[in-house]
Amino acid sequence: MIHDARTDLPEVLEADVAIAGGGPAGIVLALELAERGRRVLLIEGGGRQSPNGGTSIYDNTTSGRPYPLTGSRLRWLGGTSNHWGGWVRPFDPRDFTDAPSGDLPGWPIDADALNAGYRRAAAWCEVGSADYDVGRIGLERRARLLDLANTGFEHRVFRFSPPTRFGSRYAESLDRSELIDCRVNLNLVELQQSEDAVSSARAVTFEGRSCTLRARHFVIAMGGVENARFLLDQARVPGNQAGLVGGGFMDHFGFTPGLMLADAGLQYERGRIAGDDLMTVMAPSAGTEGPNSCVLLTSTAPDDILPPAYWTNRTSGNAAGGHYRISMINAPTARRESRITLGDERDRLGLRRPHLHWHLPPTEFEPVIALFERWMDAIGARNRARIKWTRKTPPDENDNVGVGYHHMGTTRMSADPADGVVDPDGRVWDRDNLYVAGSSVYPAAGFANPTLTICALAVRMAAHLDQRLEA
Amino acid sequence: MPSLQALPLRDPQLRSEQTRSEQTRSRPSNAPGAPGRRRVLSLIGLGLLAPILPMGCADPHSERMAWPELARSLTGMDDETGRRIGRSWAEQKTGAEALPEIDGGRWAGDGLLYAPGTEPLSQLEARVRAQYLKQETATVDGWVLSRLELDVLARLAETTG
Repeated sequence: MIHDARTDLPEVLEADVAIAGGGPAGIVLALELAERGRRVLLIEGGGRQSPNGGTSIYDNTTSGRPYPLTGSRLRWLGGTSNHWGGWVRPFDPRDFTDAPSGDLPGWPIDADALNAGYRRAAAWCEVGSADYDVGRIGLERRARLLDLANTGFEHRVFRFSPPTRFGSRYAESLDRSELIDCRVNLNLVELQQSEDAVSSARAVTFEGRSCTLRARHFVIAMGGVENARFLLDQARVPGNQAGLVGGGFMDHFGFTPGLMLADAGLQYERGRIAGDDLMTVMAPSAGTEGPNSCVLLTSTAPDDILPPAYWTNRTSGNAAGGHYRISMINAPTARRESRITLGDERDRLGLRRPHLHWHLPPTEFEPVIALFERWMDAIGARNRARIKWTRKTPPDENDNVGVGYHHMGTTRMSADPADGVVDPDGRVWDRDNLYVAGSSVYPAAGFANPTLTICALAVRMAAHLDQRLEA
Repeated sequence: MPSLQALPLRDPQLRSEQTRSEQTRSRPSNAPGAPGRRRVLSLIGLGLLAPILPMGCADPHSERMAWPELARSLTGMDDETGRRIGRSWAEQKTGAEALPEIDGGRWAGDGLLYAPGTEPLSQLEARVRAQYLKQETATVDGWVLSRLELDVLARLAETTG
């Protein structure tokens, strides 16, 4: 059931698993565990349909490259899914296996470890299909696309969620479940820890009510920034044996290098192809050197940069050409110095406010530009499509760049405690019963949006916790 | 449409190419570079004007692709954009560089002369593709184009719009 902690809060709440954070990770994990017959406590700091206590709890400071952190987080049931655009795609196998370009290692698991999770995640995200295989979909037969044969690049597709607003979509399921105790307007503020475990936790309302959470396992699922912030605010910081709690912050960043003149009617924008709601992008094939970034084409009106033109069509003579804006979504590099730390100021709950230093140096764009040049030559060799640079140099250190609002990497998953915060199951390395869920555990990110993988990891974590509870 | 008066070649090297043997591969009627107006032009050349044109300056068996037509076919760009890029490219280049030889076709002052039954355009396209693959491209006014395309645009820029 869903309860409002402002009016309904016992002194002690108990469950098999206590989850803090009612976003996609927390909700999927709660419902998956309940399906397995486990008792779950799910607490959400915001309300059922609004922040209630206000979003000021998320106020922060930033340094380094400008980053719009405040507006990118939402604090009520459903979390940031409440402003999610709905783009859905699993990470590519190479995202799990490629050696990252930064000073930190990549994923300790391979793509196969998430296969089952991705299938269920597609259902949680209300995506019609979990198939992203361009050949099986018949994409290149059914859509008018550029010829990428033997170019070192290939087509990939995004699917789309409605988008699922996890709070409103699954509120009824949470409400009806006899195994889930969901408390909104209840904020986790402190972990009571023994040497290597969490014995209990304390949660409060803005009105001053307080309760103790008791569970066999605790899961922090409060978001890519808040997970690290909360851990850092504890008297003994869990998982910080390598000083990496908060470190390695990443977000997908954009780069818009140019315009393209080609045949009209290329189908790269979101649309229905053979009954599926798809958006096609171009990305490097396995083995192509460079980051796993993707190229997007968007139809654009001719402007003074690209004057009205006709495009000689081989079969119909002169015809209206297609003008396309080219943009790229780029895989970020994890860097230790790009991190969440805590400031001195405290919020209404007494937690110190986060400070984000986003280190995205101009050099990060160099491999992106090199990849784009390879794509450009490949396109020119296989197609009558001509590219015009509009930006060929990296943005300066302090220039604004487009971001995905995808907060990742601040409690990274690793194969070794020296390289991360959580183990391959999401368990904090030095706490036996403390877990972290969500995109903060990503050690690498490719170009795909994070929500589907958040859900897939939550499904995987539910199976893991179920096994541990069974034992 | 460019005047037939312009057919005499300005470049001695190109002029000498006119005497080379031409390939006789067949080309389908709907092949690139075979619009009807070129056939008309060819017939005019055969029937009316050929006798009065100086030998070596016009081939009564040739069809012709003028620079604008050729530039559009290769790059797809409109003439205005093509001329602007061509002018910039000509300013960047030091010294004149001859256009590469092409089987079955000859560079003329105002375009490409080629014999019926040949496929010089497809050969040019193959050269363009190869240049992209070998990164024999240049950026001019922001546009990334193969050097052959740029050379053609430079010739286009010499013509009046």
